[in-house]
Amino acid sequence: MMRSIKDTGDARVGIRMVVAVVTSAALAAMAAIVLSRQPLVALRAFFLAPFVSGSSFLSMLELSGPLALCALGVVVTFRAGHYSLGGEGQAYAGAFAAAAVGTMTAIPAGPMAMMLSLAAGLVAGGLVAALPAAGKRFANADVLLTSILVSQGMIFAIDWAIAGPLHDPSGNLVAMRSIPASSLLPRLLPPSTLTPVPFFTAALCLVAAFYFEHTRSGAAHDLYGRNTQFAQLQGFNTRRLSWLPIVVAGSLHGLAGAAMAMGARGTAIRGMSGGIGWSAIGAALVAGSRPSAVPIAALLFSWLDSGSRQAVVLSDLPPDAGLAIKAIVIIVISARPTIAGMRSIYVRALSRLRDGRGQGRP
Amino acid sequence: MYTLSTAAFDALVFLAPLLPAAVGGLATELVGTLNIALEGLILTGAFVYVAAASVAGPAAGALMALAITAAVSYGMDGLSRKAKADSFVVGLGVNMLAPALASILSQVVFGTKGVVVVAGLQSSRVLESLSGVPLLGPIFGHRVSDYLAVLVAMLIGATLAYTPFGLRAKAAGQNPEALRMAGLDAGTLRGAAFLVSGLACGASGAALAASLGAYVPNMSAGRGWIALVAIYLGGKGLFGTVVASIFFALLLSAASGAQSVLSAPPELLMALPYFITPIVVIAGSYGASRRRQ
Repeated sequence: MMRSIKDTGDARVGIRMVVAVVTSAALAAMAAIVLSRQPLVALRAFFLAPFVSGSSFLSMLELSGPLALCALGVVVTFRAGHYSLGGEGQAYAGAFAAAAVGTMTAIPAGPMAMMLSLAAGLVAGGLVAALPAAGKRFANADVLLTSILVSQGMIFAIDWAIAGPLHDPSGNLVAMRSIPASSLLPRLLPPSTLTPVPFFTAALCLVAAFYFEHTRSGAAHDLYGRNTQFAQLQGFNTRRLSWLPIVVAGSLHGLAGAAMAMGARGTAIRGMSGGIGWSAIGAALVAGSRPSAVPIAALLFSWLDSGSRQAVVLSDLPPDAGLAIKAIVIIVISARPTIAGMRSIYVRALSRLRDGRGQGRP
Repeated sequence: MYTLSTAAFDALVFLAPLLPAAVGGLATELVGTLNIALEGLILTGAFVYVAAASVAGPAAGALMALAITAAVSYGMDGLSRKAKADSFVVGLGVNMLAPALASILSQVVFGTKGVVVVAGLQSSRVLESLSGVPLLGPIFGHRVSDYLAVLVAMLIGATLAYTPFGLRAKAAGQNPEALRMAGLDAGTLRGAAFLVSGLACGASGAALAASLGAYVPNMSAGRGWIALVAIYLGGKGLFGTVVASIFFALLLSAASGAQSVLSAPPELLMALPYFITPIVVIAGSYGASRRRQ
């Protein structure tokens, strides 16, 4: 299997960002023109609606917080050479655990319940990642497969719990009971949904950047991802690196899920993870696996989410247009055509054309 | 009543779409670059089958499913090789893109992003009269599409096992340098392997959609990932992959059958294979590492 995405932490992050933004904008415009009967309305909604008022911009910023937390988790695992794809289930487990703790009557509502709920999300995400991590540590089992399977199983199990024994029948949604308002994350600038999560995440990304760039442990982490045997020969604790990054990433995904449940949603809703695990991989790739670039990449993806949602509401753009654009952006930014490569394709095409003309002459 | 015979019959129903994807995926693993997009390609095959069959009939639908899925898979590999894109990331992108694109096209073509049912697309059952034969009964009475999917898997398996392509594919994965010295291009072989895996996923998707006569969003339901696990669990060999696929088909059949026997919620029963499988993978890896030691 290819092992090259861990090498993406290079100096071309800026180019990746530009390519991602330009591709997103071009695809959004194309989607609006091709798929909508009101292309101008769809375009305006996609590009401008998230920025048209302070409240909508701040809500978009809030959306980027949990996504950036998940993307940071992806960076932590990818830079250790682990391909954990279980983020979706880990985030969902975090949201579920946070809502379960937040609605417990034994815990008085307030800041203590909020902290306990966040901790529950953190632990739940880590626990979902524990089996793949243990498999890697003790049996060298492929994390890619074990993580995705456990994640899928968790999604089924949590779907059942939310729709079944923990379902709140008083609401219209398939959801658990609402977390008391005093236990939710504080809203910084109402009526926007902004909480401290994006700022906390940005600070965490800076800490992670410092860890990777300026500490011996960070260097060991990176070296393990690039060449396990060499890291071992250098005397680094490779046993710990074989499992710990997977659990840390699981915890970050769980924390992100908890932040979603304790933010605008106010509880755990069936299917609320909504592809955040996959989007996070895309954001991490756009960021070139650099923690410092993660918040910006997450903001780009949350713009795509907000823009497509607005376009769906205000025009007739299909709801999955945003997801399709994100997927294409991921594919496009993974390509690295070199100038020499493009020149050789051009030269070959030109010579074929000349040959064709030559053969056609009498 | 749920009997052993019913369980075996159901297992074959689960096996029909799983086996082609697993054997096709194996072709890419042999050339050294596993096609991680099996899940998305199965879904693509299912949607294309329903979309094309609704216009031109089931046979044309199945052929289109095979052709388009093979083209997508070949294009993925082309992008990876020509534009130096990471095949893992491209695969993830295709897995994300397939359900979104299917939903958009479903909305455009059929006017709904939900379940698309088209009359006359459900494949018919054959040899039902033989289903009472002792021991062999469960292999009869299945849908034509299921038999065709298994046939596609067998053809691909035979190609990998008995033709020069299979040998060269293994050489491409194990020692591309030796292949180059023999005057063969590893890239071309890789492209052919991806084409084969796309074709196989097309057969899987078409079989899945033809068994219902409908397209259901996310109807691949993790089969692509399970096919990948079958390749790993089968030791990346043809025989092992087939045995592992049969094991998973039995597991899924047991989970499905338990719904009719037990009063446990269906979601929990459907979750069971996803918890049991990683444990089996870990146990298998543990055993392999012990043997190596």
